Amino acid sequence: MEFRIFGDPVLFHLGPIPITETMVTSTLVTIALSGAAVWSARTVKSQPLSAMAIVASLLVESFDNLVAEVAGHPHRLVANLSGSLFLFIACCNIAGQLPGVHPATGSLATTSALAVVVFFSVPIAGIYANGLGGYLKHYFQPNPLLMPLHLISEISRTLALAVRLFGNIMSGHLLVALLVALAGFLVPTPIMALDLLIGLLQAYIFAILSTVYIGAAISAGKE
Amino acid sequence: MSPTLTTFLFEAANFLVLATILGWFFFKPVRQTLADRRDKLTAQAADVEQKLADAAKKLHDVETAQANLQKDLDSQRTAAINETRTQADQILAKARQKSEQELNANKERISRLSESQQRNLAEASARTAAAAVRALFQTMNLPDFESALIESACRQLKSLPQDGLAPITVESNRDLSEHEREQLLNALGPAANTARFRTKPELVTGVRIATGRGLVDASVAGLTQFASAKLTEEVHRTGNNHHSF
Amino acid sequence: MNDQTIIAIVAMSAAAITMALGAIGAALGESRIGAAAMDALARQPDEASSITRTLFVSLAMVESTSIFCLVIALILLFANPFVSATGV
Repeated sequence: MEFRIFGDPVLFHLGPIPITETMVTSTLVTIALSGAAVWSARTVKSQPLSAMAIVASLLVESFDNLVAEVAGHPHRLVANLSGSLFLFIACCNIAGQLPGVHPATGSLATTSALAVVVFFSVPIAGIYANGLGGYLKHYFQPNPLLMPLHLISEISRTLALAVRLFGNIMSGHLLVALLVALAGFLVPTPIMALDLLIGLLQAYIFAILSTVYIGAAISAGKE
Repeated sequence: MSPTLTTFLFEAANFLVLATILGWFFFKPVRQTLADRRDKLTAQAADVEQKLADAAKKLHDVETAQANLQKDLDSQRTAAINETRTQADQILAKARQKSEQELNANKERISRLSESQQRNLAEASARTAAAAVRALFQTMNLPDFESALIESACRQLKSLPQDGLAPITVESNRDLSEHEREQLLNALGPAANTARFRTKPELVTGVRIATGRGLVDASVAGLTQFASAKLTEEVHRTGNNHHSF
Repeated sequence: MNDQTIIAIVAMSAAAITMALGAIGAALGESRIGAAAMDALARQPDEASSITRTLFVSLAMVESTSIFCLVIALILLFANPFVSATGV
């Protein structure tokens, strides 16, 4: 049993590019998620009362409502982004509970990639909604002196987003690995159940926080 | 390239691709389907609302019509009842009148019937009584009684005024004896020479003398006739009394 | 006691202190958040969904500090840049 915290084993090289285990895992998750999404979208149309269709409709509805509530009015792209974030992170976390699979979100590279996507989505959404001047104005809003603080807060919250998700998932996985090493079979089961809960909760929090950040950028010029 | 950097870049690209796929193949169609369904539901709800309103209106119409009908029916019923009642009253009054008329007629007829009956009865009883008396006298055939009758006739003749008595007809049930004839002639006085004697058996006993001044009847037939008349009168009086009572 | 040993001892102690203080602070903060959320829920049951969402977000943000502590402790223990050897 190896305790992996920051390392990411390279499985093979595709030309000059090293392919790590996280990349493989996330690709598999992406493929599975895309297939399930396409299938459930078809199910929603054909059998609207099946469990799959209900879950899918509920998900779409709740994210639409969430974005409408946070940003002030509905935004399909933002809802798509936050819904995709939730689905991807949740699927990665749940996949991490499978034996032998290291969760893709347990790697700092993955979580920081997601956080950087959110980091870049915020100004894009803000400029799209308020125009360049309207968006840039909110950096100087209460006082021009606070502009550095705004920038630091943007960076730090992105960092916090990445590290929070990584720390939660990695620590949960590490805890399970430690318990398996120390106590053995069946003892870490409650911790694994807690990990399931925490994984879903962290996915939800990641999605909500990114929605809140983007929604704040959208409604920044409207105060 | 370091594995961490490649992983970072790959994950970012991977997530963007995934977001695109999900947005295009999951969120968009699902949202579309939900919107379609919501539109359909809204249309259906509006349709149902419309139909409900129509139904309520129709129900109201039907209720109004029913109320009107009920009112009409009630008024017709009351009118019919009143008409029937008046008709019945009329019929009743007519019938009562008729029955009263009939009753009166019947009463009259009954009273008339009883009067004639009484009269008939009286006559019959008088006739019977007279017949009985006459039969009695016929069977008795007493000479004393005969002579008494003759003497009574004589007395009546003597009480009459002497003038104007003629002509005189003496009728008797049998031929009178000399003595009796003399007696009668004495009683007649001056008109005795005009006297004619005839025999009439229906007198039973006694004599009947017709004078210019009236009839002197001293015969059983006359008695019975008198008795019969008297009896009839008596019975009729009592019957009338009884009837009036 | 060479330098490596001293560094290891200090790193372990620092990791322990980091975890302890981070856990204490996060626990206190989360307890306050929970109490406040209960209070708000009791006052306004209609706003349950909004309150619950805010509660989870706040919990996660407070929790993130202790997670940061955990990450730093782990870095100190397993990925200490001042330790030449990998791990302790």
